Amino acid sequence: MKRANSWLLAALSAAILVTSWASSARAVIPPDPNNAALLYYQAFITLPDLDKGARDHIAEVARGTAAPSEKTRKYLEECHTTLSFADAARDVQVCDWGFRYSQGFEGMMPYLAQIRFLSYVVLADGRIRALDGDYKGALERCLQMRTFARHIGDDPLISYIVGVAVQRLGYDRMVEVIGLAAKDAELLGWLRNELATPVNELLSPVTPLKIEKEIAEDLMQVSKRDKLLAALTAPEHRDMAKFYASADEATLARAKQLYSTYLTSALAILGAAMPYEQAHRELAGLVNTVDANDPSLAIARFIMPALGSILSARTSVEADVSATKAGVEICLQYAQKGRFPQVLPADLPKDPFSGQDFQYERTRSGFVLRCRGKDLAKDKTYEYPFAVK
Amino acid sequence: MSEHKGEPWLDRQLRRAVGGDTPSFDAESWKRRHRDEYEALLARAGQSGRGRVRWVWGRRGAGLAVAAAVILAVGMFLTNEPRRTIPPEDLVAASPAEMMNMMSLRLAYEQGGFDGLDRQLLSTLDEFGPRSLGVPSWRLF
Repeated sequence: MKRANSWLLAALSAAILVTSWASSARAVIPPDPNNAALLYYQAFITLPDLDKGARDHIAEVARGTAAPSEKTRKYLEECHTTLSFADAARDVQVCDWGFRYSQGFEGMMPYLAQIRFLSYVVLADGRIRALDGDYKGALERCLQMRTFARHIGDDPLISYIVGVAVQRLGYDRMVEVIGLAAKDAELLGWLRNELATPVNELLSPVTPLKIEKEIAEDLMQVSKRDKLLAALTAPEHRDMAKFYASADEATLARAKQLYSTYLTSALAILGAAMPYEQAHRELAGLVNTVDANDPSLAIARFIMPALGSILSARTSVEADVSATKAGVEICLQYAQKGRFPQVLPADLPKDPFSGQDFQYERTRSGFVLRCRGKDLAKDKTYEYPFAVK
Repeated sequence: MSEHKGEPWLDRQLRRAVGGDTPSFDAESWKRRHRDEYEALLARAGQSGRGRVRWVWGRRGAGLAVAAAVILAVGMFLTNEPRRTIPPEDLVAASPAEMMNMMSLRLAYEQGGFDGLDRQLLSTLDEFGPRSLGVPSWRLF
């Protein structure tokens, strides 16, 4: 009995030792990065040294202004490692680029150019996949732009704008692929579920505007004049830079007060649930209450972001999302019944510029959805042609 | 013009002077080629008494006059020739680094929309990347 107990004790001790060793060995190997920016930076480093012609070609293919070709395929083969890092970043929630807010408007953002180009590489790869008949792979590349936008973030404001640009390009390419895959009900059903999954619905210009307001208000004082001037280096801003440099303390103080008032009101408008046209009108009206000859107004308006453009950017990406979802529903009907509906089906997502249904028109190759409201900042009406293969 | 220095000679002088990026009059070279004329000029500059420079029209004087005419023509050419085409906005353009700061990017968007922003972003890539290491890590050691 005593001997059996000794053997049992020895076996138990050995088991504990082995388990401890095994778990400590596993703990030595660090996990994969939990900051997507680290993976994106590795993607940037591993991009091949393409010449300007190659970069322009990839950008043109991504934008849809050039057809994908064997040349595109050759360039993208060289980008294989880059794409693998971008894919690895897809499932990572956090993305901290390491931007130095303490630098204010002078803060450098070199990663924006790189991620913008990376988005072109990803979308060009998507077009090659579509060319090869891999429509699901192509759509995955387009959907990846939503993740890019979330990772690019919405603070500061320019990040939000680049995120909008990246998303819009993704939806542009997606509309093309949807047309090519219009007969594949299973694929369209998969896409409908993907589009319904929230990825970056929290992105909004409100937070970046609050951050920018804080940065600008801190800089708009005489003691920090040079810091703001250091950010106004482009030749076309020389006159404003001189004007700002010569403004006295009273003018700067009034400019700061005007700026704060306008931006606070703008934040209230952008944060409220109001129709696009009303929001545009109210934003435009903010600067009309002060004497146009007031020098403080010139400074405040220069530093203030173009609020109409920001509202337009937000609404245009909302229109892209709505039109794409509506297009998928219409193509699903086509896949199931073999023909497009005569009229726009009910209960589809609406045009955010007007609050009404999209205008639906059948065409020789498929159909087009058209916004009924205009982008008042750009004086433009958006339309989404779906051409069936 | 003298029979030795006709139109082709003048053309050559002008091409030599204005053909480069920074045309300039090579005084030393001129002095070496026109040593007699140069010494005559110096001699006349040193003369006192009458207080007037008298031009001597003869073989040497004609050569001197031709050289002076060439210098004058070159000078006029230099002052009137348009500078190489450099758009005014590029004379003191923002550097690629400055184009990447927050304010610069935001202003690019406000002035040019998404296209303007894209142009600025892509132009910074010409300077800063993409760059690849070009060597796999196992080859570094």
